[in-house]
This record gives sequence, C-alpha cells and structure tokens, in this order.
Amino acid sequence: MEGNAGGNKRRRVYSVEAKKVAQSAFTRNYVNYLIPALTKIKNQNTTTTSSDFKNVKYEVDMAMAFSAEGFAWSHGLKLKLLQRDEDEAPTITTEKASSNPSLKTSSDEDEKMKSELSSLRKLIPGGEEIVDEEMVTELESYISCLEMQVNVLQCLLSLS
Amino acid sequence: MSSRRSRQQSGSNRISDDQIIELVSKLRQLVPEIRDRRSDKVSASKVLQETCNYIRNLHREVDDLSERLSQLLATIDADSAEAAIIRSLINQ
Repeated sequence: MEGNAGGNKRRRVYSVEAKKVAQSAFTRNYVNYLIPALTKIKNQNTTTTSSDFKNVKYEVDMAMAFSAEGFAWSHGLKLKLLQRDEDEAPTITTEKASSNPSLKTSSDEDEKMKSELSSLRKLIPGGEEIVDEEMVTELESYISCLEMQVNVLQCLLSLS
Repeated sequence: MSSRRSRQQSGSNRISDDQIIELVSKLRQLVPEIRDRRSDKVSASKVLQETCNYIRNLHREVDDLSERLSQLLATIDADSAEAAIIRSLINQ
C-alpha cells in the first residue's frame, strides 16, 4: 500500500528528542489548563461532593483534550465533553463499528481481530471516525497522553 | 504471514493486513504488559486485547485520581495550593 496522503503520519522512525519535546509540551499545557480550572472550581465553593467530582473530572478530561491538539481523539474528546455539558447526560457512544459483512471468507482469527479492533476503537474518544491509516498515530498519542495524564495527576496529588 | 490478502479496501472500516501488522508492532512497544515480556509469540489479537485492557486501566486510574483530586480540593486552601503546585513543578 504505497502512496498514501499525509506522508508524515507514515514516518516509521521516531526520534527520541521529538517525543520528549512533545511530552513536555503536553505536560506543560495540561498543568496550565488544569490548575486554574481547579482553582476556579475551588473558589466556586460548590456544596455537593458529587458535583465536585463531576466538575473535576470534566476539567481533567478537558485538559487532556486541549493539551494535545491535532489528533482525532482530542477533537472527539472535546466534542464529547461539550455535548455532555449541554445535556448533562452521559454520551451515548454510537455503535458505528464495522458492521459491513465481509466479502471475503474470514477465519476465526480474523473475526476475533476485527472485534478486538472495534473494541479498541470504542475506547478512543471519537474512535468511530478514525480511519485505519491514522489508527497507529492516534493510538500511540492517546496512550502516551493517558500515561502522562496519570503522571501529572499523581504528581498533583502527592503535593498535598 | 501466510494470508497476504493485500486487497485495496476503500471502506475505512476494513483494515488491511499491512496496517494491522504496523498497528500491532507499534502497540507491542506501547503497552508495557507486552513490551516487557519481550516475546514475539504474542499473537496479534492478544496484543489488541492487552491494549484494550491497558487503556481501560488507564481510564480507571484517571477516574480514581480525579476522585481523589476532588476530595483534595475540598480540604485545601486554594491560593497556597496553587502556589505550592506551581513551585514544585517548576523545581522538578
């Protein structure tokens, strides 16, 4: 499969430096977003603890979405959060995963692969919209951003 | 790979073998569970499965940390906390 558009995404060699730069950019953006947001929540003085958690979780997710621009998942996450903001209800993930019957006869392993892949798609925000060529970059960035997010949050908590 | 059906597929929902190979090899490096095992015998579907588990675990951890963070907010003083956080993050 040669000649695909978006040649940068097919780059197989990732320099360590570039990754480190991206990581520190993410962390910086994340903290810059989250800390003022948390301060705002704190100052609003909401009475119930459950709404606190919801607000904090919302900002945690938003920080994630804003700290890594340019990915389908960050865009999907933003959409999901904004929609949640509007109707105050958990978003219904559209089951748009591959429902096309395969034209070729698939072995059991293929079927398993397909179902695993669609499960994976559902775990990524906006995953149903991600085309196959982008799955690699999307997954890579999503997983590493999730990891960084966990690190940042642990860091914030350890400061108390 | 025995079955090399490199058929050009137009629909975005049908992934080609090449893409699966690339995806799986990338995931091998990303998911600690598999990376640390250093075994090439992990099947592709197992890699996908472990990736799903890993992502779900990360989601759970984020939820848990957010929960603790919200509890923390209730108990700390806003201004000093922000200053302390920023100070220690700069110092790292």
